[in-house]
Amino acid sequence: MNPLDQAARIGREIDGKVVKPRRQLAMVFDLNKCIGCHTCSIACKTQWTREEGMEEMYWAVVNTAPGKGTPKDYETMGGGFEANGLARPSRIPGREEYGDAWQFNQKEVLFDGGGKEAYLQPTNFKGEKPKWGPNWDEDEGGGEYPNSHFFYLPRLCNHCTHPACLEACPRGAIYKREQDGIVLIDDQKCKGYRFCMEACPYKRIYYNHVKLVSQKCIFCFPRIDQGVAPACARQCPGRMRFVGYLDDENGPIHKLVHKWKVALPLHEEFGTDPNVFYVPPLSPPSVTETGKPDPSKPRIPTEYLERLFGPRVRESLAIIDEEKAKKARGEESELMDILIVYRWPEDIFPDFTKDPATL
Amino acid sequence: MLAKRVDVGADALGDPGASMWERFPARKVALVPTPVGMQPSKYIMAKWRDGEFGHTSAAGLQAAHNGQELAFRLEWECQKSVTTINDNDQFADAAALLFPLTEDAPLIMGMEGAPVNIWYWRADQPKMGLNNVADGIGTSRLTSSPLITTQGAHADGRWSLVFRRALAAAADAPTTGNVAKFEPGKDYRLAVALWSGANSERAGLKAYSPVWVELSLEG
Ligand code: SF4
Ligand code: SF4
Repeated sequence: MNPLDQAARIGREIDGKVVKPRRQLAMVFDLNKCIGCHTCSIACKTQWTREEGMEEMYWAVVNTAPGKGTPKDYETMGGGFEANGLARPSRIPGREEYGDAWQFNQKEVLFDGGGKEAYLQPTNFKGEKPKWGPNWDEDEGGGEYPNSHFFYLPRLCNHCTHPACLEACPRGAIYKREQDGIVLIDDQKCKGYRFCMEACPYKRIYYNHVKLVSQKCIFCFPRIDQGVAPACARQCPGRMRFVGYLDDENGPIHKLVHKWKVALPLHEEFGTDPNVFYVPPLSPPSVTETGKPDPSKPRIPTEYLERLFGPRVRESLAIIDEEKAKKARGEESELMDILIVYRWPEDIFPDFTKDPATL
Repeated sequence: MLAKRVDVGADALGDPGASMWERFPARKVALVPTPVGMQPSKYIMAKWRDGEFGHTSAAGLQAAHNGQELAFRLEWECQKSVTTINDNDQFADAAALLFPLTEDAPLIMGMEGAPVNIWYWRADQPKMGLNNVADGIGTSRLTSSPLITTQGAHADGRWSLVFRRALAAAADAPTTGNVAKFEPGKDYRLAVALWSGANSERAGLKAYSPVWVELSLEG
C-alpha cells in the first residue's frame, strides 16, 4: 500500500494505536424524550436519500427496543473488533433484512377501477409479499403484561473513533475528517465491494443498486460546515438529539458523556468506539404478581439495558434519579437543566444553531 | 504466446464464439489465489483466513489482431455463473487482463512509479470493458478512454470472453502514460485475474496468474 498521508491515517490502528482526528463531533440521544415519531428518519430521507437507488435507505432509523433492529437481528451478525483488536468476521445483510422499499399496486387499486375488489398490497424487490420491514416490530417491545415495556432507540452511523468500515475497505475509500471526525465514503473511490457493510457491527451502511456504491449517514456535513445542525437533530420534536464536540467542556456533549457520565455508547463491546451516546431510559416500577409496584425493579429490566449500554447503566440511572429528585425538591441540578433543554437551539447544539432557512 | 494476425472484421474478432478462435490453440494459464497475507485490509484477512477463494486453477488464453484491433479471448470453468446483482450480498463474475506500463511494474497491481493498465469485465455489465490504471493494491482508477469492448458467454459450465481494443488506442488516449501500447511485431507481457461471483469474490479475493504471460504480436 502507498504510504498513508496523515489524513488517510485518521481512524486507523497504526502501531497499536488508533489515530484520532483533531476534534470529534458526537451526538447524545436522551432516550427519555424520544416519542418515536420518526421525524428524524424522514428529515434525513428528505434531505439525502430521495434519489433512485436510495429508496430503501434510512441512514437514520428509530428502532423499538427490545426488538430486532434494522437490519433484522443486526446485533447478532458480528463485525467490529474483538477485545484483542482483531477484526470480527460478519456478513452483508440482505435487502429483506434491512426492510427493502416496497412497491404497491396503486395503479390497479386507484386508477384501473379495481378499488372495490383489490386492496393495496406491498411487494418487495423480489415481487413477493414482504416478511419484514424497517420497522416491522415497532411498538412490540418485550415483557408480559403488566410488565410489558419498550422504548425507542434511534440509530445512525456512530462516526466511530475506530471505524470498522474504514479499516475494512481495501481501497481506502472511507475516511474520517481531521476537523471533526465525521466518517465519509468517497463514492468516487468506492467500487461497491461492500466490505464496509460486512465489517460495520451496527450495520448502518446501505448498498445503492443503481450507483453501485455503498452509502451511509454523512452527519449532514454540508450543514455542519455552515453551522447548521444535522437534519435529524434540528427537526426532532422531542428535542432529544444533542450535537457538539466531545472536547468542548462547556457544551452539552462533554457534560453528559464525561462530566455527568450519563450518556453511554451502544454496544461498546463491538470495539469501534462509537460517538453516538445514549442517556438510558428510566421506567416506572415493575408490578409484582399481586399487583403491587416493586420500586426495586424498574419496568425495563436493567439487565436488558446493560446488554445494550454496558455495565455503567446502573450508575447512570442512579445519577439521573438523584438529580431528578434534587430538581423535584426545588434544588439546582445542572444535569437536569441540560436534559430539559430550556433554550432551543443554543442549549442542544450550541455550535450549530443557524437556521437552514436563512442560508 | 503469439497474437496471430487474422484477416477478419472487428465483429468476429470480438466474438468469443467466432470460428476464427478455433483455428489456433489456447495457451493454458495457471492461476492461484491471491495470498491471504496480501489482502489489503485486516477485515478481509480475518474473514477469508481459510483461503477459500480463487479456486479457478486455469484459464485458456488466446490473442489475435487484424492490424486495427487487438483481441484477447479467455475461457474458464465456472459451474455457477452470476450475471446479475439483485441483493446486497450478491457479486457478479468478473475477469481482468493486466499489462505492465513500465519494465519493472509488479504483477500484483503495480506500484508507485510503475503502474499497470487493467482491462476489467464484469458479468453484470457485460458489454462494457473498463480501462483502469493502478499503481499499487487498492489504487485502481477508471479512465474514460480508451474504449474496451467485451463480449462474454456462459455455456456448459464455462465462461468464454473476449476483450477487444483498437491497437493504436494508446496514441490518441488523453493519458497515454496510463494505457498499454501495442504494435504488430513487438513483444509484451500480461497477467490474468478471475473472480467467482458465487463465492462472493471481489477486489483482492481472486485467482490470478502469478507469472507474466509473454505475448508477441504477429507483424
Ligand atoms: S457505525 Fe459503522 S459505518 Fe459508522 S463509522 Fe462506525 S463502523 Fe463505520
Ligand atoms: S425525531 Fe426525535 S423524538 Fe422523533 S423519533 Fe426521532 S429522535 Fe425520537
